[in-house]
Amino acid sequence: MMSSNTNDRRRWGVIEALVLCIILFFFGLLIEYFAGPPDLSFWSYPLNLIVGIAFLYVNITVYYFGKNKRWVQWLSGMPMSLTVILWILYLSLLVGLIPQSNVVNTNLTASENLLVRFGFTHIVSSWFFLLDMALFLFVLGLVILRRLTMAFSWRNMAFILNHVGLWVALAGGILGAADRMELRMLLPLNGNVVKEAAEVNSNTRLSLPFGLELKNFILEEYPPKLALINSDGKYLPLGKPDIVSVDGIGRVGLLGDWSLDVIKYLEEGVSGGTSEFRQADMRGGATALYIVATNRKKNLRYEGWVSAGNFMITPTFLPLADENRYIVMLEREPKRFASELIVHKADGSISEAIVDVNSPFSIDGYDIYQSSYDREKGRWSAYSGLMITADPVLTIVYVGLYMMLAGAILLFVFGPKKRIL
Amino acid sequence: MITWDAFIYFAFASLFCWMGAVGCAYMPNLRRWTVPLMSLGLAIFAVFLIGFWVVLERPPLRTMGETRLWYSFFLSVVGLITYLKWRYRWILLYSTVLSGVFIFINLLKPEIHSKSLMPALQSPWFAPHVIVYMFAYALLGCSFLIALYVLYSVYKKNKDPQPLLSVTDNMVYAGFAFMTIGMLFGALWAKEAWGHYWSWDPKETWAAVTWLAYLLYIHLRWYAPRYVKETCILLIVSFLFLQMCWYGVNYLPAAQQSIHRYSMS
Repeated sequence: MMSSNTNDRRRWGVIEALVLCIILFFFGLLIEYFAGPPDLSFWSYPLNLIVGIAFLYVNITVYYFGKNKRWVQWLSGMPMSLTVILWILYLSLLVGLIPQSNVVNTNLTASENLLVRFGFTHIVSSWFFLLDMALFLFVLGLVILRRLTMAFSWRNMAFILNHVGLWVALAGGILGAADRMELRMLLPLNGNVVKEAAEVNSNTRLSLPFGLELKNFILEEYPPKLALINSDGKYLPLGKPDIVSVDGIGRVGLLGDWSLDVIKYLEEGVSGGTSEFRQADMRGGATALYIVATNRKKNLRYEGWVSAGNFMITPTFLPLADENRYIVMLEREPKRFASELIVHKADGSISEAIVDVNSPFSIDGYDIYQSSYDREKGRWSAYSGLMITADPVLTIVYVGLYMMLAGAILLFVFGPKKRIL
Repeated sequence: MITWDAFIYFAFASLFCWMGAVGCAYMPNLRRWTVPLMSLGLAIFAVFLIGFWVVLERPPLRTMGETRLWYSFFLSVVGLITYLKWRYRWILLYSTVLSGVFIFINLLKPEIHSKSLMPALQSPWFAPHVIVYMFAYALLGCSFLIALYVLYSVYKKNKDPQPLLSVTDNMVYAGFAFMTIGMLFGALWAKEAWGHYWSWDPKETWAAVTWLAYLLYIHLRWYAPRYVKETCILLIVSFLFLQMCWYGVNYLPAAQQSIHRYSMS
């Protein structure tokens, strides 16, 4: 394909590089169309490790035996680098513009169906993306190998950290994807020990090497907030609503010309269908406030219960009859939700753990995350939604990410060739 | 109490200082007041940011309006640094105008600034992730302004663009470094919060697009330093990608499921 000895011919550059990207792209489209998307499970360990080593081996061999050949110089040259960056940028733009989904939708029009068949609805897990990414990694590998022979300098160090870091993170992330597990579990609050979870993409159920039991679900909320609405249900003043936050009993502030005093504060109140609230004696209560609203200018005074209600209790608001307005309580916003778990290991040992949003808990190579709860029932949610992940190559990817972090700092410190900053 | 209602006073005081600084920069006998006035404006703005942080009892970084506050602030910081280093007077004018635009957007379209912070944002990564990004955005915003200026001067054929392009090089290297740090902080945080360091969420996708575009700029400058027009157009397009990533994704049909949408309260 390549004639390397004709010196009179123009050196290959951006155009030829672009042609290579496009050839791989179309090749990927064809495979996708006829064979369907790459089967992730097929690539799982040890095949991904073998492919990774083989890739690296070819990368190094091509560099060492071909570094004086024109086509290797072309593959590792700046026009090629520019082109593969541009091409991955283009593919990422497609990801950003075409709605992506992993869900197979059967009600598609013919043209939408073509998008699916060619892989445009799941670009990042399509053949063409994989092939172009392989080219990207191959080029990046050659660029790194060429640079490794250069003498040490801090600027060189920045280059190595940035490029090797990117290579390691991408290669690890792509090859490791087949071994990454992402599972969901709705853990009920009924004392049952659950040992299975559903795979997010395929929805297949997998059994875990441990069991989980929900001891308690915790929901903490921000203080209740009061606002004024008109008879159309719009918050007042229109466009820039006033909102007051209630921290406890006493004067809480002004809504328009109305000053508000909280007389009674029930964290868990029940109304029994009337507008009168009392302390709940069972689960299912909603926050209720007994408030007095006074308008000094108009010499008016109203009092009554206000509650945002919940799945059991109807919302209650305080009508300000003379103004055709109402004082309402906004739905309380969650401040923290967490699960107190009991972990049953296979060897029979039992331990306890708390998982919070942003604070997962690790066990036997699995990470357990707080991810959801029954929003409608709020603090009375009968289950806790957990996410469970396992990612054996995470350490490799993190090595790459931390190299890039160090590289970015050096890039900032040393800056461009003509440094003025 | 530095609440949102106080912003208009702080904002006008800062803008007044910055406009004064621009005026002084263009008048030789008043030029020595430029840097003190810029700094005074920044100090006033910083007092608001800190005070607002204290009153909210959380970092003011949650809503788009709040990130615009930092953007206005950092734009003027970058403008001042650029002026200190290279004495380009027009960069102060540009950064002040752009900063002013974002201040006015905030005054005219304030978003509800409630104290509450959803559990997903309660993390030590939150403040560094967003502040580092906003600083990067400000640097890259200034490089965008210079690119416009260079394109104009190329069109007018009245200036050698190379010295200005080495200024954009410096800004893009610094901006790209900060953007990379912001993105990696985001990845490490995402692992803690959502279980995966990269999930091609629309915001992440557009962050990757933006990152790749500036990566392309860095490589293009190495390969073809004389491609002035192409370089400037790339900087302008990259900045448009950045806008898309910052707030444009909220309006994108492909992004309605994004886990990165926090502006609704």
